[in-house]
Formats: sequence, C-alpha cells, structure tokens
Amino acid sequence: MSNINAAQPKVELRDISKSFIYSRALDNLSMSIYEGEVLAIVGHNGAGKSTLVNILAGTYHPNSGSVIIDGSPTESDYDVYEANRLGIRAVFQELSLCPNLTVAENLRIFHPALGGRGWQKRLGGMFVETMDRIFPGHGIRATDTIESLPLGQRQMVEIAKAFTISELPLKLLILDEPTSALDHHTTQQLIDFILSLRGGSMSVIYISHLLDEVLSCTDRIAVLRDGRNLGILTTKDASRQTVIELMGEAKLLREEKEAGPFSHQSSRDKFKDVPLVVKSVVEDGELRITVHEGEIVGLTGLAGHGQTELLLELFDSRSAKQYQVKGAVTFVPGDRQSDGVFPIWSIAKNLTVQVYDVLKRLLLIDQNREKEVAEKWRRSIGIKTDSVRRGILSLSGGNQQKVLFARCLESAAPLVLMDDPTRGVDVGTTHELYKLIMEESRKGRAFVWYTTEMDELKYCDRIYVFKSGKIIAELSGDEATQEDVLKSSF
Amino acid sequence: MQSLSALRRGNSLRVLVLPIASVLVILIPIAILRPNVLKYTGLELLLNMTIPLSLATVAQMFAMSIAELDFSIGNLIGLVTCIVGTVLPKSTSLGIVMLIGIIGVYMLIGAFLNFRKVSSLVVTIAMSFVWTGLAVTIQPTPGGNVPPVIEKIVSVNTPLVPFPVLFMIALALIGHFVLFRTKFGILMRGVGGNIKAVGLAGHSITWIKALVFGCVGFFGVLSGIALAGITTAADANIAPTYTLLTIAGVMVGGGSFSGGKESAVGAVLGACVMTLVGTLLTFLQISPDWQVGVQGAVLLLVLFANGLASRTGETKYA
Repeated sequence: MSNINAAQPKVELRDISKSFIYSRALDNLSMSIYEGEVLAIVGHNGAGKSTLVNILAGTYHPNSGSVIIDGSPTESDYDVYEANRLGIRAVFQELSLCPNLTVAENLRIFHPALGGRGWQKRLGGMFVETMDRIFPGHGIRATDTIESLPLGQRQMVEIAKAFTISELPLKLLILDEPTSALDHHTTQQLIDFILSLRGGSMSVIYISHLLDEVLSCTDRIAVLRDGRNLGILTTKDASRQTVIELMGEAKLLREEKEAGPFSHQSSRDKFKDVPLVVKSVVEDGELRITVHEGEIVGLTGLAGHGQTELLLELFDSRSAKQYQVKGAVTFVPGDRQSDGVFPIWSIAKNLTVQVYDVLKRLLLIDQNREKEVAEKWRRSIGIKTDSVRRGILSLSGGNQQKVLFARCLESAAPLVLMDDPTRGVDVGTTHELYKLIMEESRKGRAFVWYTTEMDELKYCDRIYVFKSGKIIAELSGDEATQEDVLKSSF
Repeated sequence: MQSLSALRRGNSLRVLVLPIASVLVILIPIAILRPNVLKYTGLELLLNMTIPLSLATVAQMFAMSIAELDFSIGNLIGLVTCIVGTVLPKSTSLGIVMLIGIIGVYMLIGAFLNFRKVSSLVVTIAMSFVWTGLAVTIQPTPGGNVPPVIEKIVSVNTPLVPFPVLFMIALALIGHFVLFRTKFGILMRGVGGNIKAVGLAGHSITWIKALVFGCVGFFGVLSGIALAGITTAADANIAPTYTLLTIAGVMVGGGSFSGGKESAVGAVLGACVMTLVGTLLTFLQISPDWQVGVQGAVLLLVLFANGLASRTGETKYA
C-alpha cells in the first residue's frame, strides 16, 4: 500500500459536496484513485455512489470541492465532453445506449471522431475486437440493433463500448453495477478481464453491491455511507465480514446467522394443496412450472433465456396458452425505469396505484387513506424520505425498488411475480426484502421469482432452470447448489 | 449495399415492404380505371403533386425522428409560396434573405425546444399563426407571379422516366444517406432513441435539435418553392392540409411519434401514398366531401398493419 500512496493519484476528489433539492447526496467526500488500481466503492442505496459517478463523469457539478486529474484541478466547466477528453469514462447503471441504433452506430455516437469513409466496418471491427477480449464467445454482431438484444447482451455492449480504444485517452473507467444484468458466466468473464488490467496504465472504479465480486477483482474498497467516505480497506486484508461491519450492517449479519434462511420450510406445508398456477392440458413433453399457495418458486439459468417471458405470460393470464392462473397476480418489474415507476407521481401515489378499490370513497381517492398506507410501508420497510408526498424520483434507486415491492405486497393478489427485483439494490435492502418475502409466503402468498443472483435461490422451494426459452430442469430448493444450476444451464 | 443497412435490420417490413405495398394497392386500381396513367405524361400528371408533398414529408420526418412535430409546416409552405410569388419577382435578394431567414428561425425554434424544455406541439402551433399572418400580409389574396425558372424546373422533361419519379428516388436516396451514413443522422436518430445517452456521450442536444429543425425549415422551404412552381400561385392558404398529410405520410412510411424509427425511403413512399389516395378517390367518383374521411380510414388501416408488423418480431435468446 505504501508505495501506491506515495505516488501521485491519477484522479482525486477533494472535499466534494453535492446536495439535491430534498437530500444531501455527498458530504465533504474525499477519495483518490491511483494508476493501475481497481478501486471498489460499496455502500447502501442512497449512500452517494451514483452521485459520485456522475460527478466524476461530468454529468453533475459539485456544490463545493474539486476534482483533480493528474495533479491539476479541473475547471468549473468540467462536463461530460471534458471528462471524455481527459480520459474518464463511465458505464452508468441505467443503460445509455440508443435502442433504435445498431451497435456500430452507438459507438459512433460515443466516439464521434472515428468517422470517415467505411466507418461502419471500422467501428464494427473495433467493437468485435473489444468484445472478444472481454467476453469471448459473445455472439453479438456490430450490425445488431440494440433493441433486438436481451438486457444482458446490451450491458455487455455498454461495457465494451466504454473499453473501446479510440483517439481519446482512457485513464479511468467507472463501472456502476456492471454485472446487474449479466449472468454468472459473463460476470466471471468481466472479472477476469478486470483482473488482467491490474497494474496497467488504466484505473478502474468498480461499484457493486455484490461483495463477492468486489472482493475478487479489486485492490482497495472504499465504503460510503450517507455521502461520506467511511474508510478504505485493502482488499487482500478484507473479508465479507469486515466490509459489512464497516457499512454498519453487523447487526444484519448476526440476524441472518441466527434465523437461517430455511426456517420457513415446515410452517408452509399446510398451503401446499392449493394450486395457483397449473399447466394447461397441452401435453408436449416440455417441463412446465406449477405454483401453490405459500410457495416461492425460483426461475434461473442464463440471463434472457425466457424467464421474463414466462412471467409476462403468467401476468397476462388471458393470453397464457400453456398455463391456467387462478386468482389475481401482481408484478414486480426488473427494469424499474421503464416498467415500474410513474416518474411524475409522488411516492404515495406510486405505492398505492394497485389498490384504488381500497382507497376509494365513492368515486374519489381518499387522500388521507393513501397517505396512511404509504406511511405504513415507509415505517415498516424504511423508505428513506422525509415525506411520502415527495416525487418518486427524489428517492435513490434501491428505495424506488422498495416502493415497487410495497406496491405489490399492498395488493391482495395471492401470486406475486418478480422479475429480478433486487437488481442494483444494496445488501441491507435486499435482506429486508428477503425477510418480507418470507413473511408473506408464510401467510400464504406465492412468489415466482426470476433471479440472476445464485444466493437468492436458497430462499426458493423449487427452482426451474431456463435455456433458450424452455425449462430444462426442475430442482428442489433444498438440494440445489450453484453447481447444479450451472451444470443444467450449459 | 451498405447504404441500405436499414433493410438488413429486420425492419424492412415496416419501412419498405408495407409502404410499397400501400403504393401498389392504390396504384393498381388507378391503373385499371385509367390505363393511360402508366404512360409518361400520365405518370407525370399523377405524381406531380408528390414533389412538394414528399419534400414536406421529409421535413416532417426530420422533426419526428427526434420525437418532435412540426404543426406549422402547412402554414409555412403557404408563406413560402407568397414569398416566391410576390417578393421574389420584385426583389430577388430580399426574397432569398427571407427564405434563408425562415431556416434560421427554425434553427432557433429547435434550440429553444431543448433550452426551455417546451413541447414542439405548442411552439409550432404558435408559429403556424405567425407564418400565416406574414403570408397574408405579403399576399392578402391568392395571386402573385411565380418566376418562370421555378415553373420550368418542376416541370422539366426528363428522358424515359418522368421527372417526379426521378425526383422522389433522388430525394429518398439523399435522405437515406443523411439519416444512416452521416454523423449528424446518427446523432439525430440517437436523440430519438435515447436522448440521455447522446447527452452522456458529450454532445450538445441543443445544437442537434437546432440542426434538425434547420433541416425541417430547409425542406419546408423547398416544398413551398416546388408547390409555387407547380401551381404558379402565391396563396397563404394553399397547403393547410399538408400538416396532417405529412405526419400521416411519415407514419405510413414506418415512422412513429416516439422518434428514432423514421426512414427517408419510407417518408417519400408515404407521401406518394397520401397523394395517390386522393387521386384514386377522385377517379372512383367519390365526392370531395367524403374524400377526407376515406383518407383517414386508409391511414387507420395502414397504421393497423404497421402495428401488426412491428409485433411479429420473435423474442431472441442469447
């Protein structure tokens, strides 16, 4: 460590503060990134990670403090263009590709100087080369339109786009939750690639809520809470435990150990006879899922292999050809930006949109009831806001996801469909959500849960593995291990 | 072949097959009713009016590709015919300055849209009154005296294939090149697809929108000049229907209000469809009172087919 600290930092943040209308995102934060290192940033949702990325990438201006690159402070007009010019690039959590354009055209937008005759071929070649380096065997062509690619592949394109070598320098690459839509295999490819960069001239900031990833591919770990830098750990001396302790979640860790995830199993047996989802009469030899009251059914396999399509089929049960769904269903979307949040509505309105029949008095919505319901959830799952009347976008991403969860749990629907609902949500919040799911299932509610996190499968009673739009294996939750799932997905 | 890259993306159905099919569906009955339209002079007469309409539709296509609309294009074209028919014969330089000034105003509108984050619908509806107001000030009643050189250009006799056909092919190819091959075109379509992503890559959205609206103004002015040349009249109220016809034309050509999906080939074919529908209805001796309604029904049909076509794409697995 000492030899790194002696060197001049590649990029330095000094006393950065940033406030938004309703909240203070960064509070006198200082941090240094050295040449050739991979620095992890971990912390709760709302700890200020995304704000930090945006300041480094030039999309936000700090209220005070300075960004120092290669020893010289940046000017007040530091913006995205300037950041690109100085060699700082970011892969944002919300994907920043144009869905209607091809991969090559997206690259052209990002590297405008690489024009001239035959640019499509040239940029396409550069892209494929970068993809081959990071994700060997990716199968994506430069002429593919982004919207024709599944979410996981879009994220791969996004990452490769940022790593593409152009006339601009590349000194610091910020990856904000880069693996949120990647499956296990591609995540490992990315981690291997990042490991291969260590000690080179490029620095990487790796932001993830998955501590195992962070511990396996970084040099140092910075822990953020409430917009402050709580401390920096050296990765080789750190463990899951020490990081979580520093994040202030020691209590949580104890609870998890004491309760154990499987304690729910026995109490739910009484519901097992009431089916919610059964297959239709068609018999074509394909595996189909079944769901009973109080069950948690996991969907897994490589990302984008038909899991979401199944959820959608169950959701719109009138169009379901292969299944009969009994009773109402509710849906927790994975892509909250496009499928979940009503951006101009308040937190309370977003939360209660499925229960108007309860809130309604004659023909009107009872505003007080609406607020009561929202307040109840704010207290019980800790939605971080001072008033539920605030706009939903005043919340951080993880807290928005909590609202979407609360929306579905507030409804009386016996079947909850979840499309990778903890994507990009921090450790503390996900554990709260797990607890909530357990409690609800004990009361008889059933969950169909598509997840890209192997860890989450241990909460499921049964697991279905998907490949190319079909279910290829059914595993029982007790016995399924990561290896089982991986074996069946390849 | 690379300039036809749009066709390889699986949206050929939407931007090419459906519009061409629509043209044929309308052209074939016309040809059966009046076989003479397939001759040189017939085609020329039949397609003459597609020159201004296709220019105006391409103008609208630029606006719609960034998810904006120009609701004043019909009024603008009326103003341009007044400038061409009244100002230009008296003072060539003043006329040209005014036409270029219009393009400048359009660029300001584009920049203003992003700068103030206002809806183009509101701004362009307001502008439509400005354009018509200016037009009736210049030329209160239809009349004027369009320079003969403009008349000659739009009615030029080309060998073998009539001028309107050649013109539409050229316009479609140029538009396609701009949209799919130039940096400007890609940035413009990028803004239609994900405006935030283009901003994050360090581009000025204000500048892109200004340029796009500059193109709207440019093609709108060309459309007005062409219309003045064909009708040889300066008339403030000559083209109010163009506003909706151009939007319909872009939609028939595979475009959408949400932006990013527009194609120049589709827009020109769409303009063709919108012109031919009117002609067909006249040949079928449907009274003009009913024509607008039937045009609307045709449009609904095409949009319905479009909707079906865009839903046929199968989910792709990794």
